[in-house]
Amino acid sequence: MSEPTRQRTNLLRLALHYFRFNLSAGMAYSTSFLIQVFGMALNNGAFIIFWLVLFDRIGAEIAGYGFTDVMFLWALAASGFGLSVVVFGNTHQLSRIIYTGELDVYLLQPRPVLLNVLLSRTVVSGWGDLLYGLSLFVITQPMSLTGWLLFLLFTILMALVVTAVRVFYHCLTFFLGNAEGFAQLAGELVISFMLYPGSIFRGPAAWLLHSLIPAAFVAYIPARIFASFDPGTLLIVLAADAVIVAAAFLMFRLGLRRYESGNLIGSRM
Amino acid sequence: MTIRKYATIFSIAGRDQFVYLPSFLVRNVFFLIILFIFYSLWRVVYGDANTIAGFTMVQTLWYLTFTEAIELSQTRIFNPISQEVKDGTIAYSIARPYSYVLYWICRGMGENLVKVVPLLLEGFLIATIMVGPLPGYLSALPFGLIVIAGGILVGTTLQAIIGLLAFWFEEVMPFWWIVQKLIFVIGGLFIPIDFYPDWLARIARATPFAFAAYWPASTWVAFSRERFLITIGGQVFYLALFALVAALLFRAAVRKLHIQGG
Repeated sequence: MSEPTRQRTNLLRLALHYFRFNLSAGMAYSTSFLIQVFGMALNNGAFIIFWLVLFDRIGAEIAGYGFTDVMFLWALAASGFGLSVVVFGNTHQLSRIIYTGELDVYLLQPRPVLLNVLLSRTVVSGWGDLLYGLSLFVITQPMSLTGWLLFLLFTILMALVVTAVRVFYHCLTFFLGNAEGFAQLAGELVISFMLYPGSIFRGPAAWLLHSLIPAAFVAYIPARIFASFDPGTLLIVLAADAVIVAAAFLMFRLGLRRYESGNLIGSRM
Repeated sequence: MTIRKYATIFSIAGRDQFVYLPSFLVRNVFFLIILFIFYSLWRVVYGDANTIAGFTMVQTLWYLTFTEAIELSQTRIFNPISQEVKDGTIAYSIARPYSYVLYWICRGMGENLVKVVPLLLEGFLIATIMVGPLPGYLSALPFGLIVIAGGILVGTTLQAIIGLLAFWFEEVMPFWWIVQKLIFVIGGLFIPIDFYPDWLARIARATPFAFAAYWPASTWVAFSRERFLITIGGQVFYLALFALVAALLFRAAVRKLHIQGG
């Protein structure tokens, strides 16, 4: 086996190991696990009423989006965000890990630092988001093999991009001291914007949604591709998402050069 | 004497909150962005229409600044309450010479009322810039402030009840999600209840969730003496009911409490 192939296999094994470990740790408190999962699914479900009422009241599309289109955005946002926090559940702690010096513990381990940090924790309620997103997709969208494949692809892309955006802004902590609040806000903004029809935003806001808050590349354009498949547009989305993920890795690498150990003594069990 | 005790807790919490105000103001960017999203959405929804369900675009946006200010100003007091139950600190807290539930409500309100002022000011600025001034804003101001404080108090009391559920449930956050979403939807936080079909609007208006969002906000944007009195009456009724529920829950919880060691 060549060296890069061996590294990729090791990484996949690490991810699967973390996934299994985090899932079993979460399920150790089974009642709490189920309450959190179903509580989150119910929590998300409440917003359907808002959209039902709104579409019922105006009796027309909103800037080219019908009820089903908006539900696609919600299904994608919930499943993509859910997958992101289930797999990369430590992302929201990244700033704290950097400014407390806890990163030392990860630096000493023979695994890629960033992925090791991100994978090492899960957020149990993310399963509720994931469950809700998949259910909403099944209930509100026309079923076809292509549709499913596209939805799963966009869910994975969304999970990667949301994680990457949060990592990117958390890495500002390397340069600014503590960017925790800022990174949290950026993550919330991507999700908040993508839950509304993209065409309602115009001018500078639309530009922002194609750059610093890239909701367009994880939601609006995928929704368009889902409604009417176009391989060229899909390639553009894949390329844009790859750039966002690469930017996060680059930012972390640049930040790591400035990182100074906090002399914190810690261990990971 | 008793009232003074709780007034002191309230004022100390308020003064503490001033220290954290700068970081709270930074977090308020989310509030401004949400208002911008609402503005973008409602601008398209209204199109050329002057009113929908009796609300003008100006009233709808101002309504949303008030409901969001009520929601975002609230400190999550169910977190420290449930934490105290889980780690056992509550054994010390309940021995102190005050009502445990009232302590947390007063402390929460002290923080909330300090936080709601900048939210209302920012809401005033951004709504004026986006859709123009609200007709009758100033004349309804004193009444609006009273019912908004009442709405926050209804929400805070609900949170105290959720916190006490930690005696029976390991994780209380899902209860908060459910109550919060009931306030969002049935309480009219995202959309005035008047937009709902008649049968649903009639039910929603009578729920406590509406007195935590819809009634206070609609009182300010479409002020009338009658609406103000309904809002105050409903808030007092539900506060009395929730105080009773909290007292009964607390009594049952203390009976369940086992204190081991020291």
